[in-house]
Amino acid sequence: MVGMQYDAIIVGLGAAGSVFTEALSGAGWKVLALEEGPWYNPFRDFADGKAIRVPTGVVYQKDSLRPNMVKAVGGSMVFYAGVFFRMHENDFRTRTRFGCGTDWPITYQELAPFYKEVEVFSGASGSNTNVFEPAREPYPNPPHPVSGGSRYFAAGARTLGYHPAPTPMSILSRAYRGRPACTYCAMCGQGCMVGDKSSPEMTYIPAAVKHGAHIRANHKVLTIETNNTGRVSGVVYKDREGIRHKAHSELVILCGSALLNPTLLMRSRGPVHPGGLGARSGLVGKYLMCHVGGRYMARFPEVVNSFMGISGGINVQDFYDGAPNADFHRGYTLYVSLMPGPPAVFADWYLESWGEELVQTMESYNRMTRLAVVGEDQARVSNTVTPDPELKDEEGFPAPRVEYSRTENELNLFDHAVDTARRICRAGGADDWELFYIADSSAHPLGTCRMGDDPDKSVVDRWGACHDVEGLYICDGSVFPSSAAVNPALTIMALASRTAHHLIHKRSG
Amino acid sequence: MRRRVFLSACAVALIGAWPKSSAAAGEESFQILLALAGVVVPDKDPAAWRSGPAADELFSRWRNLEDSRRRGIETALKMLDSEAGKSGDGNTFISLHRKQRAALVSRLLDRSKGFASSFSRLRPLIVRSFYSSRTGFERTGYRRTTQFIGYPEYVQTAENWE
Repeated sequence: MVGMQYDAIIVGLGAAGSVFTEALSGAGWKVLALEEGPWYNPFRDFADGKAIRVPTGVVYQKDSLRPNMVKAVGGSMVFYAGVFFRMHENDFRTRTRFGCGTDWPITYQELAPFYKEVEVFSGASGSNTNVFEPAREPYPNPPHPVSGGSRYFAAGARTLGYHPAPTPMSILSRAYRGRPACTYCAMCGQGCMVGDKSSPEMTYIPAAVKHGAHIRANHKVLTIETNNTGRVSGVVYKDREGIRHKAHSELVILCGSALLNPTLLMRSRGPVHPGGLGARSGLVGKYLMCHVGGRYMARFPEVVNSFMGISGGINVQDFYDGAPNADFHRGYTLYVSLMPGPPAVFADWYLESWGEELVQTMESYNRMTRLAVVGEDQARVSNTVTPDPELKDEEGFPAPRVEYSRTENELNLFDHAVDTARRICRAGGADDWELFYIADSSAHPLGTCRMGDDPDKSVVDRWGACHDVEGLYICDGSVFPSSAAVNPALTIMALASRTAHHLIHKRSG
Repeated sequence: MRRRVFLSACAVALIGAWPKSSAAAGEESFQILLALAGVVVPDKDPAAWRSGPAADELFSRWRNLEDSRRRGIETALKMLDSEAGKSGDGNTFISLHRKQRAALVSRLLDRSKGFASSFSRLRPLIVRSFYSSRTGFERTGYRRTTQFIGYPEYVQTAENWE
């Protein structure tokens, strides 16, 4: 197959791939970015919510946790809530400081400039009043107004002596760089039709297009190719008509997610890599992590209208690094979220009742608020993504098979978080408390290609360079050695920005 | 007997009140579905499922169901009629009082796994219809607005843009 030559090929256009595509094309590189999912037009595709139903092809084992993932230009961020936390300094040193997890090969200080760069590019909104976060410069935009249940939650937290703070968001609190401020329509999960949510399709992708990047949606990468010396030489991909092509480059950057990267690496065999790429440590596909997640409903005495606003509101991180006499490692973030959709969705998906019970619950719909937990998940080698022995995709490649289970540690952490949330809401005036669904859901698949300095204990180095394949970089949520207890989008983007700068610097000598 | 006549008259009135398009569709099952809807989401306005936004929404969703799914639901609706007829009075589900209908649904959910399975598909249809309608918005206090500014022209003319 004859194909074009590029300076870099980006595989996957989610949080990381979008940053790479913008940064490298902005430096004058000839960049090809391949995304298996579609390139949504917000106006046309987000009106009916059908845009989120693209099958991922991932096979989940019975009883396995099922992390969400979206294939699209912009990735899962197209439909995410916009929560934009930085990780804390301690997150990078959990083994050293807490005796659990794995230390990252980089520090918070190394990543901080890139956190800032992404926050500025995205127009992050927030305030540096969170006493648990490292000292930092002001956010480019002020925090969103405190609304709905957040007022009650903040009052309750203060009553108990906790430290509530506005949650940092990648949603504009005021007009910024040609985009409008949030209208608080609360349809972030359906895709932002306004343009204020700073997901990549609204920020990095338009900039990359302007720089001249070659963006190909609905193009699936089948294999990453290597030459006789074992070095990366390009990719083979399938276009939207199903026709196979080859693109050449000595630099391939894999940003396909913790769920899809492992099987692509395993099926990309070459003369020097008969067992697939990155196979030396035997850790590709291992240490899958998913935050300990959960959503809880609190019902307040007055109308809070939590069907509008932002899903972040106020957060509490008093138990981020653990709790006294805790029977679990590390900790969690609690924040006020939104009602899970309009009344029809809430009544259908979250309630099972019917008759008078259903009607009575729904009558307090606009007095309810949802709270979210993001708890640190301890990486375990037994939680994996591997090729499914039976199910194959249309090209005949094994589908990714996820096996993941929680342990006592995560369940104990979860119970503690529930108890804290309950106490805060009661102190804030909640007249009732009901738990509608628990733990086994998380939108943040992490790990499976972990980062580290030791090639025997990690897949990529501190820059995301694959230890045993020259020219191959992996840089997205899959490289996280530990999960921290915050939503990972900003950290994924900051890691990508850091590596992009490194590559540009390296090339320019 | 007099009560049965009255209830039958109500049922006829209910059917008569339904839009002609529904009658033209000849869907007897839909009338049972409407009666069931009044049990699943018993609105304070007795007419809510007789006419108006919630009933319109339900009809629209019912009409657009795939045939196979509609047939599965019709089987469950027939079970309601069959169970209602077991009293020996020749009752149909529609002819029962609302409380009787609710008791019958509870009974079937307890006894019949098949009905419980069908009910799990029926319930979303009814619940989503009601709470997506203006009536449902009013009952929950829900409202929303959105607007779209649009991509700049250079994105719309980009390679691979659809």
